[in-house]
Amino acid sequence: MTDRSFIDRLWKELPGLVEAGVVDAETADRIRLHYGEGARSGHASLMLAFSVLGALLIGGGVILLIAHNWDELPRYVRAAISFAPLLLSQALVLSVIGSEGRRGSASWREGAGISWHLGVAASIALISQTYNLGGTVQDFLLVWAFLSLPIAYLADSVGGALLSLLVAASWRMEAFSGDAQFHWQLWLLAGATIPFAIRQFRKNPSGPGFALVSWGYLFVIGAWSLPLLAAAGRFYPFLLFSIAAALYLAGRLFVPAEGTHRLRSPLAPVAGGVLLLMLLILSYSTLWDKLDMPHLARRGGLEAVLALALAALSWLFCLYRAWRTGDRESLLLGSAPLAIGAATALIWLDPGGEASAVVVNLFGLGVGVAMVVTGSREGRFRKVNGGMFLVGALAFLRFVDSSQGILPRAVALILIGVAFLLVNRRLARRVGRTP
Amino acid sequence: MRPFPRRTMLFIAVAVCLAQAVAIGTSVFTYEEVLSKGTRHLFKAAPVDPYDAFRGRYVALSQESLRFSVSKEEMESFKRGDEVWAQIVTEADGYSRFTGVSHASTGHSEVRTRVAWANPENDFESSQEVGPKKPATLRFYVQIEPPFPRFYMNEAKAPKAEKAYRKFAGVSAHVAVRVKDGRGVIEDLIVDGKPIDEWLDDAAKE
Repeated sequence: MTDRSFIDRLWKELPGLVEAGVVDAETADRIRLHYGEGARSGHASLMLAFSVLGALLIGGGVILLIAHNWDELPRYVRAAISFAPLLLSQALVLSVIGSEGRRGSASWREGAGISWHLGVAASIALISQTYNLGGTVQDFLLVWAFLSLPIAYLADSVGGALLSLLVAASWRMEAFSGDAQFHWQLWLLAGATIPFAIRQFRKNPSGPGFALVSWGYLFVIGAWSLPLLAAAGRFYPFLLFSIAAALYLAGRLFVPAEGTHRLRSPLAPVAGGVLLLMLLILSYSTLWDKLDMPHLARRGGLEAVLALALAALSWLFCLYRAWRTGDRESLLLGSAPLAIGAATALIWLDPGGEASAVVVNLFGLGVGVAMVVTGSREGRFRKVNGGMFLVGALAFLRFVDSSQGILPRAVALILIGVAFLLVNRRLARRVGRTP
Repeated sequence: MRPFPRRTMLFIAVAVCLAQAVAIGTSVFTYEEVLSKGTRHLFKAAPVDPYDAFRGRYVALSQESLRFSVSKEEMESFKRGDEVWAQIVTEADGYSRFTGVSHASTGHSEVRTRVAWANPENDFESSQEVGPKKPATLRFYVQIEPPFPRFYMNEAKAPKAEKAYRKFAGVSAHVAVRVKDGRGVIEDLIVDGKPIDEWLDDAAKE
């Protein structure tokens, strides 16, 4: 049984150790969890839970009472009450920052950061309601995003950073009016969170902090790139593939995979999944046929050009790094933009998109087969299954693709099937087994 | 990167908290000033009841005269979502309406809003004569978003307000607004000469 005085001393020492950088906040939490659950009395935990529950219930009831009488309250009282969520959440954050113990606790920091974020939103919403303000959801999101920019840093809250990124991404999607504009606000909002993300990466590149912030950035990148279709036109597939390939390669190059849960490092799995999904989608010639000429001179054109340049450079940099480190597995899917670039160039020669679709199908087939072959050699069944899924999906899509003639499809499927059987026979001979 | 010392963080946090409170407080002060010193306008309105996920139940309002005929060059200078100024004129019957739209403030009675769309349209001459229609005239229009699109009500009252309004067809409704320096704040929604709450209570008795 652990000495109680030791635990009490440890509880007092931990915040100072965190502040001095001897242990990080996550390690301190794990130490607390290790000793707290076993050593502390069950009564103390129960009392804490009951007090929190009681406070929440009373608070909820008070809010409902205010809501019931909201119409009866004079406008200046309603305006004053509208500040309450903001002020209460600010008080909570200040108490966390001011207390060594709470500042060292991730639970307190995250709770304070997230409640501050939501407190800002609640106050803005209540003021809008009190004064019957018009405005769009887009206006509301932008004000919320800018007012809550410093929260992640001050509260040292990953949840606060994630919320900031999600609000920025939502704003971009709301602000999209069918004609892409250059939204400098999105660049500013997303860019302001980068130092926080870098700090999380340095703390633990495969930890939950960086993983959650990565998810936020994936949403931002998705929201940023989707509206560029109108301006980018035929370059749009190359843009999307460059972004996804750059993220995929960066995830594999810079985020350690050993010992991490799949969900903790979303960059490579999500970006890789997007690449495979887009390969399947762009295997249809009808989609290539629908891509218009790029309208780089119209609104959003500048951003599309910048996006293309940034995406291509990022992808090339990551591809070079992967090649230098000899990571062949990454090069396989990471070179997808090359195939898409070739397919894009072919549109000008064959506007119907047939040639472009053939290139995509051949590339997808090549990736699938390579995954099966290398997965078999390495004994990695997940990789084998992934490769077989890709090949199978492509084959199925071509089987049901009514935009192509039946005879060409039949011939192609038969030829590919024969090729598979021949390869299988050769592999079987190599390992000395009879098929 | 080591975090800042506790005192520095606290100082910065207090500064940010004050900045947030001042930003929101300034907006409250501005709206109160508009309500106390702004010019009163009455706009005809027709309420409909939707739901705003962020800000609760409200009555959607639509004002008249939101569409303006402009020249082709003017139409091409406006894009959907552009922030513009809509000029206001009070008519002899006491109601106000929008008379024009501009990119910059004109210094007259006006309110800020956004462009809903800017398109050319064919105007066919209306005629009861039998036979081929006369050639259409191509006109150019700009339409603005309603500057006063919503009036927040108690969640239980908003659908009742809409229901009652539909039931008593032909009843007149207008929104009382105070306007100052391009900002407009709704004072009240007036239905059949009475504030909406009072009208709703009377309608419930009938």
